[in-house]
Amino acid sequence: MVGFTVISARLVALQVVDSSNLAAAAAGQRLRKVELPAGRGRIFDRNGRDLALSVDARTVYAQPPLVADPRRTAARLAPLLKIGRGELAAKLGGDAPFVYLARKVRPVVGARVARLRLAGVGVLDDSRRTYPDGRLAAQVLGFVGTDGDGLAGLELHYESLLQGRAGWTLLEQDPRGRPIPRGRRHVQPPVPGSDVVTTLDAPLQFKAEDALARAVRRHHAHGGSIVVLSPAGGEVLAMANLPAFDPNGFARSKPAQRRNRAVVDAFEPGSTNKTITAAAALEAGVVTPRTRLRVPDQLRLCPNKTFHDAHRHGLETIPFSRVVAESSNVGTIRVAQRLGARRLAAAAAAFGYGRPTGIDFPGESPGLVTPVERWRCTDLGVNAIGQGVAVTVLQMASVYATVANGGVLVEPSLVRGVVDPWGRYRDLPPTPARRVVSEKTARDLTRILTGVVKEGGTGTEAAIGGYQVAGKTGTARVPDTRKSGYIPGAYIASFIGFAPADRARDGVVVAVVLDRPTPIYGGLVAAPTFREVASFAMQRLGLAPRGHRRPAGEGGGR
Amino acid sequence: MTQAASHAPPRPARAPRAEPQHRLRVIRAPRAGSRLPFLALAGLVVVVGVLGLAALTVAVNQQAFAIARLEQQTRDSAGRYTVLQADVDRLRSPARLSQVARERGLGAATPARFQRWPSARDATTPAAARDGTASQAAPTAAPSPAAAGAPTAADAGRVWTPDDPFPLKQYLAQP
Repeated sequence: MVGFTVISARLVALQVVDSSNLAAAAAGQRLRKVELPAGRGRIFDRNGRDLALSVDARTVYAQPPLVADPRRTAARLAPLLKIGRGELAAKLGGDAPFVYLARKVRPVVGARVARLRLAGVGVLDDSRRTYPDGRLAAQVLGFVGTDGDGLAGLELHYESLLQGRAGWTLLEQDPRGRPIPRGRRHVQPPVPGSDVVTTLDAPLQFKAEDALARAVRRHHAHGGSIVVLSPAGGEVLAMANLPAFDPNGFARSKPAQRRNRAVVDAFEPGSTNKTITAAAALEAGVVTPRTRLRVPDQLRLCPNKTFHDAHRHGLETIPFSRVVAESSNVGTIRVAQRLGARRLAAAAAAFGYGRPTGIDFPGESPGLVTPVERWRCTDLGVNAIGQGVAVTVLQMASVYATVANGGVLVEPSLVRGVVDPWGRYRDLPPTPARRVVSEKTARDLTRILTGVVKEGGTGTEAAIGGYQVAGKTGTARVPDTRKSGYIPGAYIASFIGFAPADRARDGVVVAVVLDRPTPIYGGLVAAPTFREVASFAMQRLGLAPRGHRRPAGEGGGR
Repeated sequence: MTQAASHAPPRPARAPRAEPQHRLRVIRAPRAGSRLPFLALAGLVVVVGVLGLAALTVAVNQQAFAIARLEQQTRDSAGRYTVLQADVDRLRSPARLSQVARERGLGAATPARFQRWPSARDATTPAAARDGTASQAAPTAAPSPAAAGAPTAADAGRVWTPDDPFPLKQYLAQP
């Protein structure tokens, strides 16, 4: 009787009191929760070409306490994993309960390792981010870390869109850990990341990078950037930077190679900034393109500061349009004096100086602008000719895009749309636009800038047969970051312009900036690169010279 | 008949019924041996049922294994597809194509040239750009259909001139 009571009590305890705990413990032995990683979204160029995608990979791991013979195991794994035997043996013979032997290897390697059936060695499913075009647009695309998180560039900026949401599956397993078919199974499927469609055009991007590389090599420059913009939509068609790196092996690169200089680095623009001075002066009505100015070759603005033109000349009386075409410092400062400091500073701010352009890219530099209240005697002259102010290449390209777009500034963008996990494409909302100068000012300025590439201008090397080109050369000194003043002999050469000038809204803006080239002049080193990139861009866009029809089947790059 | 019956003398009172006699007979006791076929049949049914159930379960599980194997194959194939796609993308990357072209002795393409038609003037020379108007550009040495072939006496009357707005005539003028 006593025995019966004891057994009954135990049964009640097991079946009633502890039933839920025991059931959970039993389920814990049989059931296994496996995370189902979400596939990371792809990055496309504007024509649907893969710029970044994730592929299957395997990760080989070991549980050293379960490894019977570390040396022998290492000897069998070394040729497959292409890792030294000693290194593998050290990992396999260590005290750690779990170590990675090789991460993100090709699936075929993982399958070979699995076939060896080595005690204490296992293979996990994984994925690997790959950039099929290697260095192409590397600084723009960025890269992802070992755990698949975006660490730089668009990969970082659009992380929330690209990464998706991981799922899980709860499955019943046998004592050896193998899933039991028809066993209990509950699946929460992962939601893959969305695909991002950029505004970049891969062939144009390659052309820009190729032309930049040749220019840097030919002129022994430290580096450089090229930005190609579509004025009407603000879309970045190409963004090239040198030095560059291969995101497939970003760990082997230096930080300087990974920087998207066109967006995160500021430089003193020099004469390309005269476009803003000219725009402000035309808009304020202090000059017209035909206003004649008396221009000496030097001008004392302050007691201890004299500004010079690039070449010596006598007193000239030339129209304002020639002042810009010949890039006269003195003439530009004379116009800035008529304009006044406040209006000049306001124009620079209106064109976006001193604040980020708003492009969808992390770490954008706003540039450096001295508030007009703190301007000293020389600052009016210095700012008028583009020294003493720092901007990014993208900001400068945006200034010229504004002129090309009839005076309306459109925020630049790098992504045009998104493909959701169900394959539906949707455009991103258009970026904001605002008017900076009047249509007439933009038109007058465009006409003035076309004079720069004509006979007598500083940018004749930028001329493209059959097209009207508008632009401006720049040759600016490089500030010394260690002490005040400029680095002797160091210059940044640039040419920024747009074509076709007579249909500027439909054309392209190309900004070419070379860091410390030899020779130093933008008209000599940057203008030819502009011509090369701009003519290719117009070919991509199907823009025939005026009076010619676009050949059938050409120009799908927009 | 009816009349005769009505005249029939009354029946005498019925004599009391005798108690029914139960007809009991001796039957043989059932023999155990007669259940054997039934038991055998029942056993057979049970065995066949169990075996059938087991076979069915095995068959279903085999299908489950096959499904699991096919699912794995699908995943592997999808993975292989993305790997191959990445390979295709890599092989057709502009940088690689450019390198292969250089290795095979191909030069960089010159910028596209546009010919003004029918004047056969090259619209893509720097001179044209400097002038700002392509129509005033100087003709180039580049051959064009419009410039090819000098007129002969035989062509008199159908010789094409730059002022002629009908370019097809130039085609007709060619041999």
